[in-house]
Amino acid sequence: MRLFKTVVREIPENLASVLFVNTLSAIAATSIVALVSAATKEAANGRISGRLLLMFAISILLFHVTQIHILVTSSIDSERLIHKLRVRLFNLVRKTDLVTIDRIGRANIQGVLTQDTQILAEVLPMLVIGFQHGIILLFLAIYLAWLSPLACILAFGLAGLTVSVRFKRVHALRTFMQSAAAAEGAVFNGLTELLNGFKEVRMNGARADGVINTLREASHKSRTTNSLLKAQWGRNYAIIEAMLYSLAGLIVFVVPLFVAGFYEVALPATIAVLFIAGPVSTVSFVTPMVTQAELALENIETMENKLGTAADAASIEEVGHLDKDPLSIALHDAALSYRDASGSPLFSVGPLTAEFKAGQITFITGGNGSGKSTLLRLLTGLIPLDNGSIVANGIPVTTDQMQDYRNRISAIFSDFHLSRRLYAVKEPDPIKISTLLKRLEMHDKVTVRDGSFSTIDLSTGQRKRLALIVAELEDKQVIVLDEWAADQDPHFRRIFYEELLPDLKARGKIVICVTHDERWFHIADRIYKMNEGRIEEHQL
Amino acid sequence: MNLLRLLQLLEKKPLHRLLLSAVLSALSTTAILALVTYAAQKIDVTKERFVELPIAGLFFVCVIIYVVSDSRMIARFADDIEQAIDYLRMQLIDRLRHADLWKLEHFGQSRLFGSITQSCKVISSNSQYLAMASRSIILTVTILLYIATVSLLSFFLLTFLLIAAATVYYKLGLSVEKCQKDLASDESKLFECVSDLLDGFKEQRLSSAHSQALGKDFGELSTHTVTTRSELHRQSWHQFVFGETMFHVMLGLVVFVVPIYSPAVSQELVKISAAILFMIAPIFGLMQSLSVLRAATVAANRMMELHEELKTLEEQGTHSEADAIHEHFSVIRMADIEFSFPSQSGEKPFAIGPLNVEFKRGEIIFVTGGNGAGKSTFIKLLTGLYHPDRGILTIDNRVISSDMLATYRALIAPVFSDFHLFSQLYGIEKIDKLAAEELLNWMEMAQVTGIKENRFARTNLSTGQRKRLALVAALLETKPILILDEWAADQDSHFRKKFYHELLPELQRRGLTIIAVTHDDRYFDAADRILHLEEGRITELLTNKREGK
Repeated sequence: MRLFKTVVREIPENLASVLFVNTLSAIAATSIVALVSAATKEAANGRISGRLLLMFAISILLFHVTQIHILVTSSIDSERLIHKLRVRLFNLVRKTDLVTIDRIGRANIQGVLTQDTQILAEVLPMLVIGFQHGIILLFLAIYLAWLSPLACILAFGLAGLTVSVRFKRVHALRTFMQSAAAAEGAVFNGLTELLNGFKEVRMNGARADGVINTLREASHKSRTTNSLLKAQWGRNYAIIEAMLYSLAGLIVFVVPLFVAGFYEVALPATIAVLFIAGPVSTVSFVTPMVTQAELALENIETMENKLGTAADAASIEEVGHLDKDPLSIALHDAALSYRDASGSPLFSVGPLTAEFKAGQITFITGGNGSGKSTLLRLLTGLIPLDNGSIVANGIPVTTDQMQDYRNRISAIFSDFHLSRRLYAVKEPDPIKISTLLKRLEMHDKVTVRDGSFSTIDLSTGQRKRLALIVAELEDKQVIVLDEWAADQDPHFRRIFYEELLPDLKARGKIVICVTHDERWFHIADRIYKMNEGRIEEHQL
Repeated sequence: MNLLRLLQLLEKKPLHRLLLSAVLSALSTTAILALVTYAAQKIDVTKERFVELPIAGLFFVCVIIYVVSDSRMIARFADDIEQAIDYLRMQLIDRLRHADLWKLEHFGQSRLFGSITQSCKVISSNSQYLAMASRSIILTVTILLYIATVSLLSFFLLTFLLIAAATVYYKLGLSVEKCQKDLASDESKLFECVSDLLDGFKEQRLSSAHSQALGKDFGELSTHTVTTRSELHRQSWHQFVFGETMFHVMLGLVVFVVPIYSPAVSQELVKISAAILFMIAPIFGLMQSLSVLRAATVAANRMMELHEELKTLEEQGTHSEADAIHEHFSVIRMADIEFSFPSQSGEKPFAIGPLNVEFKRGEIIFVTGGNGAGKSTFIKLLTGLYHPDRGILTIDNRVISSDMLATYRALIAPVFSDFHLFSQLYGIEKIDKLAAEELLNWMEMAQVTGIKENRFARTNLSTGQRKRLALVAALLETKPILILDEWAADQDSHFRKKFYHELLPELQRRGLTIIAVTHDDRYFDAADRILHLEEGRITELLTNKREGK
């Protein structure tokens, strides 16, 4: 059992004490049952026993205290477990390389990091109470066996059956749940289309009809699948409850047939069995969740393994350093092939040879799919080369220097991501920030407080300006801008080409821009053109 | 209660049915209780070895009745709820369909999504608990009545204790819910951090400082989440254990205290103890249902409110069928059109107009202007999606009244800058395969995707490529007017050139009127006329006066 192993490995501290307290609480629960029966008998004989009352009070108190202790301690421990797993996975992702991330798929990683840990967080406390009730059942079984061995065997046989029936039925319910979720997803998609394409819908009545009809079908489908799911759920519920009722029926209608002298223990056995129903119900409720937890843990572990090897390999890259900020960076006969799953090449780039110098602006142009993005990824060291080398200051960058090399580059890719937090800048200088905000004409829209932008809910062009502010704050030697100006209006485009870029150049940066704005080709010191995976220098 | 109003949307009488099944289920459960204790006592008293068959048979029948009535109750109630949701959801969507763009834009998309999808989900996924809540109440009452037949004193004592305990339990639940809210906000921060890592993976690879800060942040957020969730666990377990203990106290009360005051019932204590044990499940169930019930009521409320609010969003007049506008119009005119956005506090209100512009059939007209000059608003006014504060739209000197808007819009195929590429080619009755293929070839997209059964085979493409598909879809509509908002902005220079020098002239030859918002001053020669927008005012630039390069 993966879950068991993980718990023993990751949070062994409180296991022994929880187990001990658990035994105490089970004993307290059993004595509550026994005392109720004993007091009933006493009362029937017309006596009230102070001793029993005292024992009863102590038992209740003990049960209350121990139960809270177990549940709270184990829940907090399971939170610690989740925390450990979550942070470890997050740091592994951080240290992995881009190729691995793209291969595994961001959605998959996100799923494991958010959904699977979430499932664990919700399921583990349930398992804790299931386990606790399981131990109580064990002691109640001993008590019942002491009253009547056959009653115990029959009752726990039926209880076991109840748990397994519930287990099977819950698994069967999953298919219903999946189809209900799919139907709901279809409604959601339809609504997304209606709202995101609202202008288009308003422009064309026939299109509106089409969208609405699709939605109507989806809504109806959702209704039917949900109804089916609920009907099945109701049947499951009622059958389990009926089985629990039958527990009591078993004791009073079946056991007496086989056990001589059962009348002596008929009342306490009945009460004991009625007591058992609760914990049995809990255990049967919780057991199917073990599978869920196992599955989530398996996903987490598989992901850890997948990332682990890549992260180990990547950690070599953090060892070395470059001597100083490079005055030039270059690709030398760099080549890369994208391959499909079987390894046959889909698309090749290179060999690429290109040089970028400090205090110069270099433009890169080229059509869609000519390999510009790949060039940038190779140059920034985000994906390893198949062949050739990255050169800084005329010396090839070795593997162990790669992270330091990357640390000297700021890049705003066309698929850039803007975080609200300024992670890259340790202590942002407020004066510098306000100057930059003004210069990029964002000062009346955004402020920076506690190392975060007040908002990033802006247009793409505006978010790119904020990304440029982040790059300026990082103040690195190399700055790479991928079609930065495409989302800016003509006014700001002019500022970008005629003020911002020359300023970066004047400060001795290596400025690399992917651009199509031919009007401004004259400000570049050098222009490369990409075409079908090859590069050539464009003569000015 | 709005949840009930939701059900009243249905013509049937779902509540009667629900109540009937619930009563049946509760009575059968109480009968099971009575039969079990009766049999146990009988064995105890008579000391006989055999069992009364009729009682056993009755027990069996009661179990069957219980299973049937309970599962039916849940299934039927859920079905009724689903039907009501389906009905209301479609009503909302129908209203949405006829909404006015301007009002809708200011209504807030997330609210709409939240109300329609989330609310439906909350109600639907909890419908069984709602059904069970009513059963639990009835069952608790019948069990208490059963206790009353045995001992009135116990009945009063237990009822009192039950109400007191339930109140405390409920109060404890309120602070648990507050914890849940805290947790939700912690978790959303944690998830934001995860997407900062994954969506910004390249960025963090390029900066060790960035990467370390991310790791540190995530660690802190995760620790904080652990604290919040632990607090939640602590509180909810306290609540749960309190509930359990109260039942134990009730048991103790019955077996130790009641006999002192009411010696007569001493022989019957087992009945009451059993009854208390039988009450545990429905009462915990009921308590659980209460919070669910509240969430569902809030959700139902939101849907009902939305239903009312959406009524106010409706665009006037567009339902009615007006006489057709001839598609061979000769001129569309905007006359003195003015439109202003309500200003937010402290800001200068943005106003556009007065606009006086003519569009003749067959022209190519470019509209230029900086960010925020009002180009998109201009397009929305021209297409009648926004209603001007003043001024009129005319076509061949006929004023386009609000009931003509739908037919007027039917002349226009637009590709907006924030266009939406639909998963299906909605609204095109019969797709001309040949034309579609030709268009895809023309857009250089035939290699990348195709049209299969009313939909594009692939749409997970770059923005530029998706815009080409949106243009294909617009052209397949075969409307006389084509409106493009910064269509070429995402195209590479090769295709941009093709667009201005090849596509536009050819479309014009085919008789289309083209109105295009653009920044590409290199290609201003492709237009017949150029309009320039600046601060909400429009001026006509002549084609030969274009900015020199």
